[in-house]
Formats: sequence, structure tokens, C-alpha cells
Amino acid sequence: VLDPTLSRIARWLERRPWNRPGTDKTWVLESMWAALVFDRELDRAERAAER
Amino acid sequence: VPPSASPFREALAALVRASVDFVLVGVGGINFYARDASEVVRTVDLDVLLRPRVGSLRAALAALQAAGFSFEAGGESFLDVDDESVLARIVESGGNLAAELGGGRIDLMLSMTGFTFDQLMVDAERFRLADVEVPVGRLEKLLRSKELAGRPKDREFLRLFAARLREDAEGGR
Repeated sequence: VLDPTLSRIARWLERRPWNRPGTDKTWVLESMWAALVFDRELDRAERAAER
Repeated sequence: VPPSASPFREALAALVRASVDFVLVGVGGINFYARDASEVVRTVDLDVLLRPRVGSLRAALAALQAAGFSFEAGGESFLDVDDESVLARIVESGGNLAAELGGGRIDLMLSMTGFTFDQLMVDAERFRLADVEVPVGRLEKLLRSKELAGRPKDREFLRLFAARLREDAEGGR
């Protein structure tokens, strides 16, 4: 059984308006991707600076 | 794929178009319940749980390959996408394969800690990605799977997740 605090949070979050079934979540994947691209570019710049 | 387009979205749209049975899990799945971009947790890959059948794995690999993805298993290139016996062994062992495109990585999983594919699919939430709909595991189950996995990074994730949202949830905001 899930920890009661996490369980309360999960049930609360699932009932929020932004989590209604059918909500468009394209922005979630775009945010994840943007963060990855940012990290990769930062890493590349740091490695270039070290050379 | 242009640098600005998300391979994650490309992959999921390809799986939906090919009628592959899958459900989103892991941190990527948990991110679907975020309110806005500030709540999205960084993760290097997107976990996709496939129905543990050779047909599902084969269809997923074909769809992703057609979308330009390449595959990796155990750190090495995986080329046996049409080899029935190899795919059967992956399914039987509950293993996983990584699909990669332009630096975006999709983990194709045949099993996950704590729940079967059917247990996750039975009450999966359905969200849209523009013109396609994707199933995402219920938040309580995704968190419970992390709790059961119990790796240090899972425990830390759950601690931070609770710390960030406890006040809002208990205040009913």
C-alpha cells in the first residue's frame, strides 16, 4: 500500500482541472525535451571551454 | 527530426498510429500530472510499458524504426527487430530495449515493478497529444511502483515529490 501522504497527493492531483481526461499534454513532452536539449548544449559548451 | 521537435512526441504518435498496446509509466508518466512546466521533472528517457507479447514488441519496433529510431539493448545496438525468437526471449525475461532518435530516448519495457501491464491499463488515464490520445498509468500506481523499486534515486524522487506537493494537497488548493 502506497505511503498515505503520497496517496493523498496522488488522489488530489488526479482530481485537478488540468488532469481531466482528454486534456492536451503535448507541452509536458515538449518541456521534457527542452530540458534535455538545454542540458546537452550546456554540457557541450562546458566541454568546449575545458579544451 | 528538426532539433526543436520532441522525439518523445514523435515516438508516442508513431505507436498510437500503429495501434501498439502501451501505457506510459515512470517519471515521464508522472510528469503528465504536472500543472505546468515548472513542475515537470527532468528525465533522460521516457518509459513506455508494452503489452508483454511478441506481437506488441514487434509492432512497436517497426513503428519506431519507420519513424527513424534506432535501438539498443544492454549498451549495444539492437538489430534483431524481426527475429521472432530473440523478441520472444526479451518478452519472457521481462526485459527492455531503448529506442533513440536525436538524443531522445524511449525505454520500451516489457515489465515493471509492482504491476502487470493489465493492472496498469485497466484504469489508465487518457490524455491527448495534439491529435492522438495516450494512456498514462494512474498516478498512485506509478508512485507505488517507485516505492516498491526502492532504489536510492526512487526514494529521493518520492521524498521531493511529497515535499513539493504536500502543502497544496493538504490545503486543498
